Amino acid sequence: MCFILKGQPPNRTVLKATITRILPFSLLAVVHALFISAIFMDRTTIHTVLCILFIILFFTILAHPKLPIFHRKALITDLSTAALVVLGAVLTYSIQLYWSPGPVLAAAMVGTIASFLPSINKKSRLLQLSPAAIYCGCFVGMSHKSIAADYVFIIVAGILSGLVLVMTRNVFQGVSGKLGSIAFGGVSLAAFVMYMLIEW
Amino acid sequence: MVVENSILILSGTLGAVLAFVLSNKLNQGPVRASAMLSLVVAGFFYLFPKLLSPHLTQNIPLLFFGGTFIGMASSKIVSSYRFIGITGMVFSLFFLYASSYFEGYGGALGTAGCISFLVTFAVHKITRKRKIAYAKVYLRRYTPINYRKK
Repeated sequence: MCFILKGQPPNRTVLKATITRILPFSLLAVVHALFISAIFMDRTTIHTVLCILFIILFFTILAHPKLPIFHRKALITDLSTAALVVLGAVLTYSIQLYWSPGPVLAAAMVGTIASFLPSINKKSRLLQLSPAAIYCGCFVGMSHKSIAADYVFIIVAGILSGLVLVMTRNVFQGVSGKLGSIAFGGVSLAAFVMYMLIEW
Repeated sequence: MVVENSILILSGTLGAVLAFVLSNKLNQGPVRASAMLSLVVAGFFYLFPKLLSPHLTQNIPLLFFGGTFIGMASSKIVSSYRFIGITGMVFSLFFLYASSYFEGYGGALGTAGCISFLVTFAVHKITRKRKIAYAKVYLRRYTPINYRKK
């Protein structure tokens, strides 16, 4: 199975899909399955909604293997972007906590500032990757106080999202909602970890 | 209720298309396109909270913000405005009728956007492939032998 994409950038080469490359793909697929199954659990009594959700699930499964996979090196730079995810999350959460303009405005403010960071130094690879990483962190920081009670949760969720972002750097490129899916995965994982720690 | 829902669906669709234009046509990059547009819309409703009903004031920025995630798609994956508009519409419907189970979880809007994108993407791929397949069969069957490629 080989994915071909027209007009690809020169530093990325299209490769055959192997298990190691499919694994990050599966990670995001699991996040989507988790999201859809949660809706299933909530609305199993309404048949129409159930039918629509089955159709959504079917098409989502169908679309996953049709998306292109890239290969990009420089893992160390990518790993440092995980710290930027935490930064974005903490900034957005702080704005929400102390000013309360609403999660959308808080995330949009941080995201707008982050989008201008690559203009500081156009040769820096880290700065080029920073808008996406910080924006991903913004989504983590958008979590409600009932879910994210304190900064510890936000930092843990940010680190987990950063790691997922690094893992999935070669898949879902240019696909809408990739950053949101990663943030959702990170927050869900953090909630699970926190719950286990409290229970333990 | 119907009017309010229509406005919400329109705002999601508009967010997607505007972000796609800003990101790909005006080369502002996906993050700036999404964040700046959301900043304008959310800032407007923050400054004028009583302009529309509380339901609309609360949900328009959310749906517009979610819509802009769809507009963050690369033009190398999709290049049609119609596709982005339909995806925005699917996302808005998905958001309006989805469960509140994950309310408050960061990234839930993005995940809903991603699922909407994948659904529309799969439908687009299936329909396009079928059309090509039918055309090939049709041409093979009805082209005179003399005109066929050797």
